[in-house]
Amino acid sequence: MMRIIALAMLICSNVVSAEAIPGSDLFVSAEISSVRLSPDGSLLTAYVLDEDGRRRIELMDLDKHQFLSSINVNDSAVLEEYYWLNLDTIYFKTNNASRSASSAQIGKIINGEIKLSKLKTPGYLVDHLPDTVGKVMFAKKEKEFHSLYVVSIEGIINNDFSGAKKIEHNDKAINYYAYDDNFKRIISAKLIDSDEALVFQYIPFEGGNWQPLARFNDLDFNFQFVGFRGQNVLAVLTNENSDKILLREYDTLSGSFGEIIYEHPDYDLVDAELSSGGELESVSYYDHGVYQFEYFDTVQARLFNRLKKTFKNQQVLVADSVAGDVSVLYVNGSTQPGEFFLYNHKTDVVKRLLAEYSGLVNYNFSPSQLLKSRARDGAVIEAFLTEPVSGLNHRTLLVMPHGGPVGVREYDNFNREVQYFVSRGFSVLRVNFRGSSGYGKSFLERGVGEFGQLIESDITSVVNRVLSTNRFRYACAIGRSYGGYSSTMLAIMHPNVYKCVVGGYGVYDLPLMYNASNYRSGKEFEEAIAVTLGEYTKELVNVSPVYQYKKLSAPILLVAGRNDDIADFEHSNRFKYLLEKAGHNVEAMFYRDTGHGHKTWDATRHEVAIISDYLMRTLNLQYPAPSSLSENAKRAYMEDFVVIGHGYHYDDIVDNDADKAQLYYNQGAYYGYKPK
Amino acid sequence: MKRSILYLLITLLAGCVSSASNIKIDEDKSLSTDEGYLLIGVESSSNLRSIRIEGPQKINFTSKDIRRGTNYILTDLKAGSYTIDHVRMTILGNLRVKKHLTDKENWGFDVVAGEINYVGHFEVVDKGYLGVNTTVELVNRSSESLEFLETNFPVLISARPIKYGGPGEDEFFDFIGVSSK
Repeated sequence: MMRIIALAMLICSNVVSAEAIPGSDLFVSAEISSVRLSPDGSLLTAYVLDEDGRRRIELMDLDKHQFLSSINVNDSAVLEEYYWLNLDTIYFKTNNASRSASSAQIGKIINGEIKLSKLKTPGYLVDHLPDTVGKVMFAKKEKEFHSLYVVSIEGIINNDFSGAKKIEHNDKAINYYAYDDNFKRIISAKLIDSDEALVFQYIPFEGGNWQPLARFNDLDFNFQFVGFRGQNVLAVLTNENSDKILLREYDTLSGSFGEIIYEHPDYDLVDAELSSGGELESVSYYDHGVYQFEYFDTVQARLFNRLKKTFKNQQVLVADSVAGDVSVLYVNGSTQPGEFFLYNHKTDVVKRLLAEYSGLVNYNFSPSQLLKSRARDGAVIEAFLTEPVSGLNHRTLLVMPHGGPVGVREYDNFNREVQYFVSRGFSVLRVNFRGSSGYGKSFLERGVGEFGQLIESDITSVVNRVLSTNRFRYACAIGRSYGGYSSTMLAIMHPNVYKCVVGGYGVYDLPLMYNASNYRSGKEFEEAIAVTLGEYTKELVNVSPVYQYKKLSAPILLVAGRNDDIADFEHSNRFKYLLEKAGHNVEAMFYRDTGHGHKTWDATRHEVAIISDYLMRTLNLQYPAPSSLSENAKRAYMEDFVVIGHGYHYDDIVDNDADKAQLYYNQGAYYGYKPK
Repeated sequence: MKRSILYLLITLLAGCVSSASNIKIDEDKSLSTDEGYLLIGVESSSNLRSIRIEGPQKINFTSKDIRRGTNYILTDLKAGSYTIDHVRMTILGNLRVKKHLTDKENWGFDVVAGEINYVGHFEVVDKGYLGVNTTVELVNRSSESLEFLETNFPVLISARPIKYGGPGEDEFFDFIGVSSK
């Protein structure tokens, strides 16, 4: 077993036992991302969110495990990508979303500090050509299109292309280039508007006439280029003529698919890697909701099997690597919010490097359990059940259908919302019902138009199995978007099972989906929406909560954004109108200036607190006494009440209500809130 | 002489387009047999100056009824098919622009005689850098319009059926029993 230094000790010494986790610790942005190694593995860079909410690039000396310096690459923009070009040079590309503008800078490392120079050349870096010292492949914007050069780094800084080599080719109208380092080929893709064709083509590194790779007029299947297998043979990820997305050869001369290189029996492939000779090195896919690699090289396979054992039920990605020397690993799982490790290939030691969320390192999270159930037609349905490991347990199952519903899925990664509810004593069940992605084309397509039908039947098959264990006193359905609809339909279809419903940003009137506005109605829009909802028929009212509202017996909380133009606010308001007229137990939290979900963590924390409070009140559950709680858990409940109180008190996205504000402040005071 | 002709021309042209009178009093006016009520919601993040609809009558909704935020216009007018023709607004502080809704097929609605015709919410949203990209859409917000009528015009809605005359089809008013069927 490889040695993991420092990790075990830290876990044992500081971990807080399982109890309520404050929303302000859970619902925050990642502090660390984009960790990269210098080409010799001595330095490391990371994109870091500092305490003032600014993002900076930090430079770390790996031997000393110590940050040397940091630099702000652009105040008003986000880092889009960056690469180490050589031992002392880094290329940064930033994007200012509000202006839809990208810009690039070169960072030179001088005495442990990064000195930035703005790139004067318009265009983008195609490849940093690791084998060509001091030179890069750069696509320079010239009028409407881009020309391709091999140019020195100083050349792109100063827009001086006097010593550059232009890669000549016979098609000036190209904007997108990629480079295949294995076969030394330049690849481009372009859309030919005249016949609506997508064309892939290549030239050798030296330039020349573009050679065709593939051409598609109507790409209604998956086609993802992986690499070259031979001079005229590609390896592509595709589901053309197959149920699963698999790795297959594609003959560029005949334009036909050839031998299947790799196919997983249960899952769609997500990615694959080839060696410089075109041999398959690895494939990756979501196995039981965890992103996994399968290596075909014996040494690599052995290493990753050991890593799998070390980081059990967690995904292990190689964030960056210096061949045969060091690798930066990124680890994430249902109980691991995300952490970067440094693996030294020579000493076979894994060192803890950086936590993605420093505020979460001391918490103990609840693992999820994979369930495989048989649907009524025999199909295998995967689901994830997360229960409190210790401490408070309300014995209440929250059935949480995902959104979409087609082409979306649940994973077994760290899920902050699941941990929020589980740490407050609830159990959460998430189901990959028909329509979920990753299980093949037929599984996915089988979900189309199955609103209130097969999808809810799949969920119910898993719910029945879970409830048959008699561990639960109550079940509530809770979801957003399609999940809001599904939760409501589950309660309508199974009134004896569900004691309450929370529908967030949901669709409740399916015919309205086809008639939402002047631009979201009519034949063309119907065709577009049919890929998810199926054909428009009058019978949709039979599976629409608005038209079936009398069949809903469970209390319901409706959460919606007044500016939602995906699941229009009209859905929630219409449903609330009918339920209120009927005297149904309905509550609403309709946010102003909010669309199909929140843009800020403050608002997200408010929403989960509102839902948690609703569940506690509706099911008449008991909050733990403050004296029984740790300081952190007391803070968690206090924050929940105060954030709700603030919503009703301050001028924000929630309608003000002085009485409610006082009520929640008082509850917060019970857990230690002291107004300033 | 020239000045007289010009005056006459202006008078005639002005006579073609009338400003809508936004009904404020909750009563059921006696409409002639070819008239109905129009209810349109207006929500804008810009300052709107006017909205023009064309059909059996040409009508301008002017700035006092379409301030920034959410507003409703309830007016009586001749029954028939109408189109929203253009909107005038102020962007970037003081820049006055006129946006023609050239895709006429997307901006039509019907007014049925004797009924309250809700035709949708005319939404104007500033998007893009400095709000220079303005989008307009006619959105079905029937339940909100019904709540508006229930709060502000209980007498009127007890006397007149409500009909959805906006884009697409919608049976909501039929379902809750406020339409004439």
